[in-house]
Amino acid sequence: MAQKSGLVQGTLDMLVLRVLSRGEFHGWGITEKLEQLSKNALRVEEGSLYPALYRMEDKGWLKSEWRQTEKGQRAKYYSLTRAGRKQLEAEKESWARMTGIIAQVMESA
Amino acid sequence: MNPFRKLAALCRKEKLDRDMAEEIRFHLEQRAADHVGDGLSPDEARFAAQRMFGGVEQIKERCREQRGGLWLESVVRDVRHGVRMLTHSPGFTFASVLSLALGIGATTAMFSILDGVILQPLPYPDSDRLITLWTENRRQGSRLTSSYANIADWKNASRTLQDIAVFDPVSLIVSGDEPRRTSGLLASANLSAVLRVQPMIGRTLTEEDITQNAPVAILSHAAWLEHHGGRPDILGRTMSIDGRLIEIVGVWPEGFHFPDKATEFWLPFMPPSVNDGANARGVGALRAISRLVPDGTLAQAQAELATVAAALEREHPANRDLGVRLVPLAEQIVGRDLRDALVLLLAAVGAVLVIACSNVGNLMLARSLGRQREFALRISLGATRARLVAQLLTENVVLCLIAAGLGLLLAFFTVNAVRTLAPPGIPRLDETTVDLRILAFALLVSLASVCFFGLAPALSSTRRDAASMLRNSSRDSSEAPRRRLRNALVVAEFALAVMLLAGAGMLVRSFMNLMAVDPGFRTENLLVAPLRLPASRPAGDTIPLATTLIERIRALPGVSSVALSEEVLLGDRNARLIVAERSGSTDTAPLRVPLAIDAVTSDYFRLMGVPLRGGRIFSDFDGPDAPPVAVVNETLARQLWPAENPIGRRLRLGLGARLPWITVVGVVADQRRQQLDRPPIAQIFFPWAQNPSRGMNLIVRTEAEPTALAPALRAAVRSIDPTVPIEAITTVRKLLDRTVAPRRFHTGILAAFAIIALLLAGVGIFGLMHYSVSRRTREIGVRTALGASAPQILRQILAEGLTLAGAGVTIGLGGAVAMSRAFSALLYEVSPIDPVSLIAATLALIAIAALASFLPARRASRIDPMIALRAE
Repeated sequence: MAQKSGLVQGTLDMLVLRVLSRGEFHGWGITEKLEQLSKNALRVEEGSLYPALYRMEDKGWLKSEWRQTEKGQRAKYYSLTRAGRKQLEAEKESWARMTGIIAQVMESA
Repeated sequence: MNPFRKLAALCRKEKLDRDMAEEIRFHLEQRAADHVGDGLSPDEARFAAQRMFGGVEQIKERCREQRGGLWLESVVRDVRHGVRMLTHSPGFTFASVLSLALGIGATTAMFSILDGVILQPLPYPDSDRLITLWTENRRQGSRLTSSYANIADWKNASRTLQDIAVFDPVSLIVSGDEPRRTSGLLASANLSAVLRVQPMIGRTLTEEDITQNAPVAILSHAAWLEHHGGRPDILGRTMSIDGRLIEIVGVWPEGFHFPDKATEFWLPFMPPSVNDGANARGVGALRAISRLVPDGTLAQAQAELATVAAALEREHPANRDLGVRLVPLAEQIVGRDLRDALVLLLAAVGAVLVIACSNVGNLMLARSLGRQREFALRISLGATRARLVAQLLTENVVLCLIAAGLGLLLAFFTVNAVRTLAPPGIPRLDETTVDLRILAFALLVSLASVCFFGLAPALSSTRRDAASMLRNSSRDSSEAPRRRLRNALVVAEFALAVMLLAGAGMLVRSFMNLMAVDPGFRTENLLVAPLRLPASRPAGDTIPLATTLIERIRALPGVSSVALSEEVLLGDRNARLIVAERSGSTDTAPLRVPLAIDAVTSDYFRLMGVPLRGGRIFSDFDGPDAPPVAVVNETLARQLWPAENPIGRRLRLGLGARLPWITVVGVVADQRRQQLDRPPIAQIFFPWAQNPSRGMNLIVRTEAEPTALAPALRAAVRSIDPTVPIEAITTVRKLLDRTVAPRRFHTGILAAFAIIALLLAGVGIFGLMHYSVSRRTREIGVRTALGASAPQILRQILAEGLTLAGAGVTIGLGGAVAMSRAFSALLYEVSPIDPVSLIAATLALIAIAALASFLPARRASRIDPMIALRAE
C-alpha cells in the first residue's frame, strides 16, 4: 500500500461531503471511495469517520437509509441533503480561498 | 436539531445504538473481506480489521456524543444511574440524605422565622428612620414612659428629629350585644404624618379633634372587616366606646397597624390642660415616636436631646436622675432578649448545617475513593472526563434534591410547629412563612459542599493513569492528605456539637433554676377572671357589683375562697415618688421607687398564700370612709424604712401637699409577680374598698382542677350583670407559664438542635471509622497474623476514634465558653463556664464517639487474617 498521509485538520467533513455529492455510499464505501479518489494517498481513520458522519447527520447535512447492498447485506447508506450541498459549496469556496492564500504566502519571496 | 427530533432521538435511543453496532460490524466485515482478498486467513483478516479500526467502544461513545439529544439522553441516563448508585448503598444514602435534610430544613425554618420577625421591614415607609423616645432613669438604666411637658420640650429643641408624635395605648370597652374589651390608641394629630400613613377611606385625626377632644375614631382595617363586614358606608356610623358615642371617620389601609395588630381604634389624645405642678414633669404615661431628618443620625439625635434633658433635669425637681433614650422602632418592637435568642438559634442552626455538610462531605470523600475503580474502568472504555463530571454532578444533584424535598417538608412542619407552640409574645411571628429563597440558598450551600467533597476527589482520580489505577485500586498514594481532611471534618463536627450541647445544657439548667424559683405565692388551683365595669356605668357601681360577685361565687360548689386584685401578674412598672415619714426626722425628700400598686380585698393574702411578716392585713373596717391604710411588702419596707419598724408609719404617693397620708398597717413577704427571673419589686397594697377600680381580677381558689369551674363562674357573672365583659378565664399557673414561655421555647429548640448535632456527629465518626477499617482490612489482617490479639486491635481502633472526638471536644469547649459569655443575658443563675453543662456535653460526645467507634472496632478485631490477606 502506498504511503498514506493524514488529513489536514477540518477537511474530513468537506471530503465526505464531496464523496457523497457523487451518490449514496455507506461508511465503508466512503473510505474506499476516498482512497480511490486520492489514488490511495489518503487514509481515513474510522475513529474519525463515524463520529463525523453522526455529527453531520445531526446537523442536517446528511440523511441516511438502511438498504441492501448489491451482495444482499444490510448497510446504512448516506446521501446529501439540500443543506449538505450548500455546505459543500461553502466549504469548497473557503478551501479554495485558503489554499490560494497559503500558496501566495509560500510563493512570495 | 429541533427539540422534537431530540426527543424522538431519545426515544429511539436503543434502536440507534443497535444500528450503530450493525454499521460498524458491516464496516469491519468489509475490511476483513478486503484483507482476505489480499491473501490473509479469515481469522487474521478479522484481527487486522479490528486493529485498523481502533477501539470500537470508544468510537461508539464518540459517535453517541455527536448524536442529537445526547445531553438530554445522558441526563436521563445519569439520573437513572445516580438513583441506582444511591439505592445500591442505602447506608450512605440514608446518612447523607438525612444529614442534608436536617441541615436544609432547620436552616430554612429558622432563617424564615428570623427574617419574618427581625429582618423584614416594618409596615411603615422608611421604617428604619423611625425612632421611639423614652425617659431613662439613669440610676437604674431603665426605660420609662414620658410626661407630656418633657416631650413638648424635646420637640421644641430637636433639629435632628422631624416631629415628635405622642401616643398612649389604652384598653377600651366596646358596648353592644356582647360587650368586649379591645385595644385602642390615643394619638396626637401628627402621628399619622410621622408614620407616613393615609387612611384608606375617610380622614385622619386633626388638630381640631385633639383640641375639642372630638368623639371620633379611625378604625383598623382588620377590625373594619371583622366587626363591620368591610361595609363601605362605615364613615359617619357611631359606636359606643367606653360609654361615649364615637363616630368612625376613617379606616386604615390593609396591612397597616400601629403599634400592634391588636389595636382597633385610634382616638384623639387629650394633652393635659392644666400644668399641675410636679406631676407635669418626670415620668409620665406617654410614649413618643419620631422620624430622623434625612441626613440625621440616631447618635446626633441622642446627643442633642441629652443636652435638653440635662437642662430640664436642672430646672425641674421631678426630672431628677431622668435622661432621655432613643431606640429605633424596629429594635423596640423586637426587643433585645428575643433578638439575642433568635441570633443564638440562628448560630445553632448554622452549626447544624455545617455539621450536616461535613458529614456528607466525609461520606462523599470515603465513597469517592471506593469509586475510583469504577471511574478508571469507564475512562478506559472511552468516557471523557466531562462525561464523568456530568454524571457525578447529576448524582449529587439527585441526592441534594431528595434532601431538599425532605428539608422543605421539615421546614414547613417546623415553622408551623413554632407558630403554634411559640409563646404569644413574639411579634410578627404570625406573619412568618417558609421562605423559598432561603430554601434555595440552603440547597445551594449543601449542593456546593457536596460537589466540592464528592467531585474533587473523583476528578483527581481521573487525572491519573487509568491503567495504573485499575491495577492498584487500594494502594493509593493520595490517601494520606485525604485522610487528614476527613479527620479534620470530624474534629470540626465534634467541636461544633460540644458547643451546641454545652450551650443547650446551660439553657436547660437556667430553665430548671427558674422553675425552682419560689414565686412567693401558691400557684396551684387558682382561677383568674378579668372583669371590667363598662365606662357607661357610674363608678359607684363598682363596689356593689364586686360585693355581689364575691358572695355569689364563693357560694359555688368547689370554691374555697375568692378575692379581688387589680392585676395578677405585673408588667413593667414606672418609678413613683414616695414621701415617707421617719421617726425623729422632718426630712420629706421624696424617694423614687419602681413601685407596683395593687388594690386587693382582705382575703387576697390568705388566698394567695402570702405570709404576713408584721402588723395586720385589711379588715372590713378599712372601708371607704375609714382612714386610708396600706400593706407593704418587705422590699418596700426596706427601701422606705431601712432601720425602723414600718408598722404605723405614714407615706404619701407623690409630692402634692393635699395628698392624703396613708398609714402602713402590715408587712407581707415578697412575691415575684413580674416574672420568675426578675427579683421582687416594691409593692404597696390598698384595701379594695378604699380604691375600687373598674378593672378587676376575680381570683378564685378552687378545691380541684380550676378550669372545670370556668363555665359556672362565667354564668354567675352573666346572671349578676350581663353588661360586664369577661375576657378569657385563665389560671395563675398559665399566666406564670406564659412569662417563661419564650425561654422554654428557645431552650427547647436549642436542645433539639444540640441532640441533632450529637446524632450527626455520631453518624460522622461512625462513617469515618467504618470506612477506615474497611480500607485497612489487609493491614489489620497482617497485624493479626503477626500476633496482635483481638482486644489489642479493638483498643487501637477505639482509641483512634476517641482521639479525634477528644480533639474536637477540647477545641469546642473553648468555643462553648466564648459563646455562652456572648449570650450570658439568656442564662439564669448559671455561670458561662458552668462545669456541669461542659462536663455533661463532653461526656455525651465521648460516649457517642465510643459507641460509634465500637462497632467498626469490633468488626476490625474479628478480621480473619487468612481471608483478609487473600482479599486483595
